Order: sequence, then structure tokens, then C-alpha cells
Amino acid sequence: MPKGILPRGTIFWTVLFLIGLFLPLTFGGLGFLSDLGLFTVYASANLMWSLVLGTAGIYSFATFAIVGASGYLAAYLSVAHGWPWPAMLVAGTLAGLVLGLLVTIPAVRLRGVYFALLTFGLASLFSSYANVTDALGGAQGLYGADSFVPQADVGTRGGALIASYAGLTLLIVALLVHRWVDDGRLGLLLRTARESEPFARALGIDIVRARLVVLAISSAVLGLVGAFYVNFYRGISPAIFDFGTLLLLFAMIVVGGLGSRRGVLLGTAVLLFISEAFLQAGPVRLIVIALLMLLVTLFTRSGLIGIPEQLREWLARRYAQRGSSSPSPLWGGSGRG
Amino acid sequence: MSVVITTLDLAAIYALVAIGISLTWAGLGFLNLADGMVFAAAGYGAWWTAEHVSTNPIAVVLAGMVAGAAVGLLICLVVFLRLDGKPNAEMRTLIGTLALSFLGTNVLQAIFGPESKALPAIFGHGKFSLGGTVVTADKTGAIITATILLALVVVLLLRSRIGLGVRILTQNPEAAALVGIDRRRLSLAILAVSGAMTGLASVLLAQVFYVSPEAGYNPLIKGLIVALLGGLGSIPGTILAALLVAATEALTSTYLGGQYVLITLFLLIAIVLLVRPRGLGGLLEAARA
Amino acid sequence: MTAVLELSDLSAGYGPMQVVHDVNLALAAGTRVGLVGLNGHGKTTLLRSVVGLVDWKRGRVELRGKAIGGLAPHEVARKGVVLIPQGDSLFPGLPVRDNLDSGAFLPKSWRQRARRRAQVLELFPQLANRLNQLAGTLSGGERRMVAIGRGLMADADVYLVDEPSLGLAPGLAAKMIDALLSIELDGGGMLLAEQNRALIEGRVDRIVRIHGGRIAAEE
Repeated sequence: MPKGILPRGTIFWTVLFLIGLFLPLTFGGLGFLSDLGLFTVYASANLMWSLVLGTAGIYSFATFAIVGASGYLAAYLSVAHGWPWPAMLVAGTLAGLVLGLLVTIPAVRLRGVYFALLTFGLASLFSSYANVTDALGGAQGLYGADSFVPQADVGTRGGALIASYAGLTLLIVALLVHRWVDDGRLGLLLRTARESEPFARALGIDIVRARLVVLAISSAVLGLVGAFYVNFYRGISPAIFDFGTLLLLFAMIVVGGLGSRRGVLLGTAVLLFISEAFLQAGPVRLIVIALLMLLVTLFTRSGLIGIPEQLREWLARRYAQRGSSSPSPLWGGSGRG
Repeated sequence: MSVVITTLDLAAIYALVAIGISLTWAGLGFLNLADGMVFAAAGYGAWWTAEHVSTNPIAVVLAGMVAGAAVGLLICLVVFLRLDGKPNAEMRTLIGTLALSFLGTNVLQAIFGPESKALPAIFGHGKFSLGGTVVTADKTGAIITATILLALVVVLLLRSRIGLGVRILTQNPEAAALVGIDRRRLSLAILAVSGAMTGLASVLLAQVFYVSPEAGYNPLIKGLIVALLGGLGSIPGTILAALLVAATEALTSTYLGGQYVLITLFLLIAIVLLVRPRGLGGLLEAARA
Repeated sequence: MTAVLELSDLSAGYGPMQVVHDVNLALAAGTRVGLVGLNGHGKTTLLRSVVGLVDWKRGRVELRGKAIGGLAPHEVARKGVVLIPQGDSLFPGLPVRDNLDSGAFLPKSWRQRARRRAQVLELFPQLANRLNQLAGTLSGGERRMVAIGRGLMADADVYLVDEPSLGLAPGLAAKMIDALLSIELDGGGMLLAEQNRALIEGRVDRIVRIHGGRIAAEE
């Protein structure tokens, strides 16, 4: 089939979809399925984070703060008021949306660095609040929420399969949303604004509105992720706001490659694998993760996923230099190795 | 009165960390997120010296500062200089410092173990009474030592050639190059001095708390808050911000309880940034002119 | 007479956009050369590429016979080539004294800075009571004086001056040119880019015109 007839990556994604479809059935272990569930949660959150951080260039670290807060709301509504799981999912999404909109207000007024700090603090704030509030279960957390995994199936293979497929559905939703924004007009507007604000303004792009929309959309999905999380574990605790988790997520998108769907999936998978594989090894686990993060940042331009292209360009430059006869007096900038 | 002493004590420590972060950002364009790791490493440097070399207070303090400066240089060489001029340098430097911090903290834990270590009391155990409160030697010593070092750094910035170089770099990097300033060389100086200041802060704080791999996390957050509130690059602003943050923390701890500190700090940040989105820096210049 | 600064086949620009094409220019020792041309025709780009602020595509720049291509701007400054940039490019949050002293940043100049500052103040007496004032609060003319003064503090071998009359009233502009022409070159040279040809006509040793990034005629 000649290249270019199908949209770019169709084969890749089709294959990946088929793998996703049959993977849970073939690899039976409960442990693996639970990891798969966690993978879908992390990957979905990271895809949304990548939209905000990568495409829009907004330095927000509020990802899991929103996931956690929405999850808490969903859990509370279920435990205290008996809301069923579909309602939880809706509530979570709405909570995420509202939080996202609230977060936009300071985003508009503060410079990037200041805003990043604020979002960092958000998770700590929520964590403190959850810890001291009895209605939210305090330090232990809130448990006994409804779930799409029927109570009877908890702990069985059937239950785990339901959870895995539900997670994969979530992931597909996240991927589609990412594609819709990033590949679409909004993504183009955001990238232009990120490169040069004055230029974007001159083109008539309403930067504020574009950022508002992307924050709202991504936060809504993050809220959904939060509700899913509660469905998986039938509850939630302040541990969700842990700085360590946020760092792990950050490592995932950094290592994989910010801004690329495949990169996010790759990074999430690689780091989750390492994280689980080294779970028993104590501090070595974090050392490996940190080292990987450092090396990828120092040596790759845009994460692991960008390596093939980086390599291609490097090789092309090498051959061009050998072929040219006149020495190039470029002193720096793009030329420096 | 005890609130005042605590405020000054905390402000001294936060200012030491924050000024390094502020100058690094203003002069070199990146937030040194690895400063927390520098803090912890310096603490261990001081502890190791106390254990194996000498418990002489001066030696311990110097060890902390030298260790801090050394790790600061490491950050400069491994992350900043390596990425300077490369594509996506800004984001990658930020991430690089974070990764290095992560790495360093866990390496420290692997080497020294997770239990905290204590440093010898540098200022002795004396105390005196002031305005109805008992003031311990460690707080007094911390305030005085930090003030001395801060004063030294300010004098260096205002009077020396290198100090002028740093100030110029924070104002206009292109013109700085035109007058002959080698930004890369100066970055070593900036990060070394920043590291040394953080190192002193670590030794001072360790008089009250302990040396541990995680010890730098809280000071880093506070340092970042102070640096950002103060207006990156403004020394007077940073010092004022340090006092404000320390006062908020001291008052909250005393009258509301420690668990509310984060909430009140959050409120402080929100208020300051709402009124002055660029921090407190310009306020003092405007008052002067 | 040997050339203190020699540009050969210099082509430079921003990324894929080439602004300066095949420029050949020799600045003889002890002379002042005026570089005239309309806005946007490459005067600023040419000066900036000499000091390394703009990437070259091709060519050679020699300072007293030694190639200085490929050097970073701060290294070019260390070799004694000083650019007084268009629009002043001062340090707005610092007082005038610090702005001037910055020109003498290099170690061998630093020791002389008090003396040189005095010389600058002779040239621009208005700055005498502005030494403690923040540069960002000065008027346009005063800022220009500080920019030129800063350049002079380096006691450079080669002065590259970019549009000293820009944004100034005619009287002030003339004063700036007077000041620049009164500087002792001491075997060095000065390349003066100026849009207003009338200001330097007959007062410099040579005028070179640049048009569309190319040297149009030498007179």
C-alpha cells in the first residue's frame, strides 16, 4: 500500500489497539492486570498533562491535584450519599472541569514560573485538607465506594478483566481527546502562542481563550481519571497527592517525550515497569529512575521517542560536513554539538 | 517576642537559600531545583567532617559550605553548561536539575542510610533572656552568622568586579557579552556561591533539626517561594520576602498550629502575587527613587 | 597602511534569511569609516556579525591580520573590538556609574576605570550629576551618552558604532557625532553606521554605502 493513503500512524495504532484488546486475556495474572490498570490511569493523566505542558506550554503541575480532588469528590458522593458509579464518573469529570477553570484564573495573570509554584502547592494544600477533614476519611482515606467492578467480582480474574478493559477505554478516550486538541486547530493556536506570544496576538489569536479551553478540557479528563481511580480501588486516600507520585509521572513524560502521544505511552510504560521491577530494591529503584531521567534530558532533544529523528539529523549533519569543501564559520547556536 | 526570634531565625535561613536561587534564575535563566539536594549534601558534608575530622565549629561550618559549593559546581557542569545553547535548553535544564536532585537525594540515602544524623552544637548551649523569652544560642548564632554572610555577599555584589558582572548579567545578557562577560565562566561562580550559602543554611538549620536525605525538600520549597515573592533577581526584595514568609510561618505555628502553615503561606503567596504579579522587588526601588 | 579590521566575502543572516552578502571592507589603522545606507539594508546586521552576535554563512573577519571568526561575542570584546549597539542596550536597573564601569569590565581596563570615567565625564559633563541615577530613568539623549561612554571605557582597538543619531533631535545627534569623532583612535579604527549621511559627510575619512546587504560604492 503506497505511503500516505492512510493517516499517519494508522497501522501503528491499529496494532496497538489489537494488542490492548487481547493482552488482558492472554496474560492472566492478577498482578499484571492491576499494573495494566495503573498504567492506563497514569498514561491517561500524562496525556492530558502533555497537552497542557507540551502543547500549550503552560507550566502546570496540578495534574494529580486535580485527579485526586475529583476522585475525592466522587468517592465522597458514593460513600456518603450512595451515588452509583456512572454518576461518580460524571461528577468526577465535572469536578475536574471546575477545578481546571479555577486554575486558569491565576494562570492568566502569573508568569510561568510563579504559576508552576502555585500548582505545586495545590497538591500539598489538598493533601493537608484531606488529612485533617474527617468527612473525607482523614489520613486513612475514604473507602467503600461503588465501582463498575461488581462487589462480587472483586479480587477475581473476572473483576480484574473488567477493570483492565475499563482502563483501556479510559486510555482510548484520553488518546482521542489528545489527538482532537493537539492535531486540531486548538493545538496549532496553542503551539503558535507558545513559540511567540506577540506574533500569535498579531495573528488575532485569543491566547487567553485558547489556554482556558485546553485547561478546561484536560482537567475534565483528569477528573474522569480521578473517578476511574476510585472505581479501581473502591476508595481514595491522601497518598494520591504524594509528591513522589507526581515526580514519577513527570519522569514518565520527560523520558518518553513531551508532546507526543507515543512518547507518553512509551515513557509511562518504561517507568512503570522499572518502578514495579525495582520495588523491592529500596533506594536503588529511585536512583535508576532519576538516572534515566537525567540521561534522557541531557542527551536527547525530545525524549526517547525523538531519538530516531535526532539520530537521523545528526547523521545527516555528519555527512554534510564531510561533503562540503568550504569551512563553515558558525560559532554557536545551532552548530554547537 | 519568641515569634520575633523565630521569624529572624527562619528568615535568615530562607534568605540564604533564596538569594542563590534568585541570582541563578536572574543571571542564568533557570530555576535551580536541585538546591534542596545541595542542602542535604552539605549537611552530610558537615556531619562527615564532624565525625571523622574535627568537631571544631568553624571546621563544621566550612565543611558544609565547601560541600555546598562543590555540589553547586557539579550542577553547573553536569546540567547547565551541558545544555546551554542546545534545543529546548530552558525546559531541559529545569528537568535536569530536578532529575539530579532526585538522583543525589537517593544516592545520599544509599550511602548514609535513611536515619537522620545530628550535628554538633556549633554555637554552644548557652541561652539568655530577652523580653520575657528564653533565646537559645543556636538561634542567635544562626541569625548572626547568616546576617554576616548575607552582608558579605551583598558587598561582593555591589563592590567587586565579579559582583558587577553578575548584576549586569541579570539585567541584559547580550550587552553583558558585549562588554566581555563570559557567561559560562560566571555561571560557575554563581552556582558555587549559591551552593555555599545553601550549605551554611543547612548547617544552621541542622542545629535544630537533623541531617537527612530529605532535609532539603522543605527549605527548597520555602526558598523558591521567597525567591519568587521577592522578585527574581532583587536582593532587597528577597530579604523582605524572607521576613514575610518567616513571619507568616512563625505566627501560624505559634497561634494556629503547625499543620496550618501551608495554608497561610498559600494565602500569603496568593495575596502578594495578586497585588504584584512580579514579586516585591520593584517596590523597594520605587520607594527609593 | 595596514588594515586594523578586514572583512572578506562576509555573508551573514538570521537562520535561513541572509541579510548581508559578500561584504568586503577594510578599515585602515587610525581611520574612521562611515557606513551609510537606508534602514533594513544590513548596517546593524553587519556590525553584529563582526562581533559574533549574528551567524555567518561564509567569509572572514580579521583583526590586525588574525581571524576572529567563530569567536563568541565576549571573546571578540576581549580582543578589543567594542560594539556600541543600536538602541543603547543599557542596564536599566543599575546606576549610571555601574553602567559606565561595566564597559571597563575586562581586568586590564578595570584598574583604570576611575580615570576613564573622568574622561567620559569630560566628554559628557551632563552625566556628572547623574552617576547615581538608574539608567532606565534617563532621557534618550542621556542614555545615548551612557552607551557611548560605556564603549569608551574599554579603550578599544576598534569601535563599531551603530546609529548614534537614532531617535535624537538634530542638535543632540550632532553632539554625539562630535563626541565620537573627538575620540583618540591611537592606531585603532572606527566603523560608524549612520543612516543620516549628512551628519558624517566630510567628517570621516571614508564613506561606504551598503544597499540590500551589499556594499554599493566606496567613496
